Amino acid sequence: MRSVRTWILISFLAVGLFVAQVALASIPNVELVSLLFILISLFLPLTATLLVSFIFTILQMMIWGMGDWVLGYFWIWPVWVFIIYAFKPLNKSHVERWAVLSGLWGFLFGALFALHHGVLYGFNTMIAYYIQGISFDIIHAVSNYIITSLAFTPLSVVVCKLASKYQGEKYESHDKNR
Amino acid sequence: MNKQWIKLVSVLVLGIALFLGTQYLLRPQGIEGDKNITIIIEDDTIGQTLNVNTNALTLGELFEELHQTQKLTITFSGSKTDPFGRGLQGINTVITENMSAGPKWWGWTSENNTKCVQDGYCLGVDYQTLEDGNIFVFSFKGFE
Repeated sequence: MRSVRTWILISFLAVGLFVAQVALASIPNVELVSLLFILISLFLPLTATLLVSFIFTILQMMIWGMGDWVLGYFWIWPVWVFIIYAFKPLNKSHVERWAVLSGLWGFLFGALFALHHGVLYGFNTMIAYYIQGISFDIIHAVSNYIITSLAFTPLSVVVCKLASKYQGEKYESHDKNR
Repeated sequence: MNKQWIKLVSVLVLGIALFLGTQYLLRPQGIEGDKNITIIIEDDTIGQTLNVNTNALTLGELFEELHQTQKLTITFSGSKTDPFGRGLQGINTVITENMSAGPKWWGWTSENNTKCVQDGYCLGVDYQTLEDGNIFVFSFKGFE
């Protein structure tokens, strides 16, 4: 059973992701959400991060409305969360490794969405959707790489400070919390 | 300039080159020359059928022609450089109030355009190429 405090933290993190998403919504496929999921994963357990992703998607649905993409968000963002946790022991706090992984996620995100469309509308739609979106997957991958390279270190310092305050103990490194 | 910045700028330049390259390779490649296109507008107030001869490569270009020749009054949203091109916001007096929230939007289908049949749906006006003899049906609908 999670404490009320934990639920509030999860809700606030989901709102933070949502605000970050809306702030950059006008720039196609440039987003902070992938990086923020990495940072959240540094101090939250897997189940809590998955809850953040579900609440984030519900917020998206409440604001932008229900669409086939919402169903996609419900499973594609959790896939990213699983990938992050799988690579956490390997990447530790290496900025370059997270940046490369985040860049590769930019490509995978488009491929998974194409797969999602394939399940809903058929194989031809999947291929058409994927080909149509390749150029935007490139933007997603490059922007993820650059954003993670530039913002991972300063943001992780802030996240660690906030996590220390929240948990009432000093965070010495990201690895300690794995 | 330190090593990290050189790396980031290189990735950015490579990304821009790849983006422009794929955009060029995947650009709508319409068929040049004269084509006969039928536009069927299904609507209680402005419903009509138009048969037009055009050299337009895409549905967007055809609508520009129809707008200039005053056969239809077309309202677009966004611009050609948007990720999915312009949106068809209005035909004559039937206009979507808000392209994000609707409540109704213009949609189109074609049972004889190769791309529409192959994909199972038609593309946005600036990506939808035209073939001689194509029939497009337009209707103004919300989510049902």
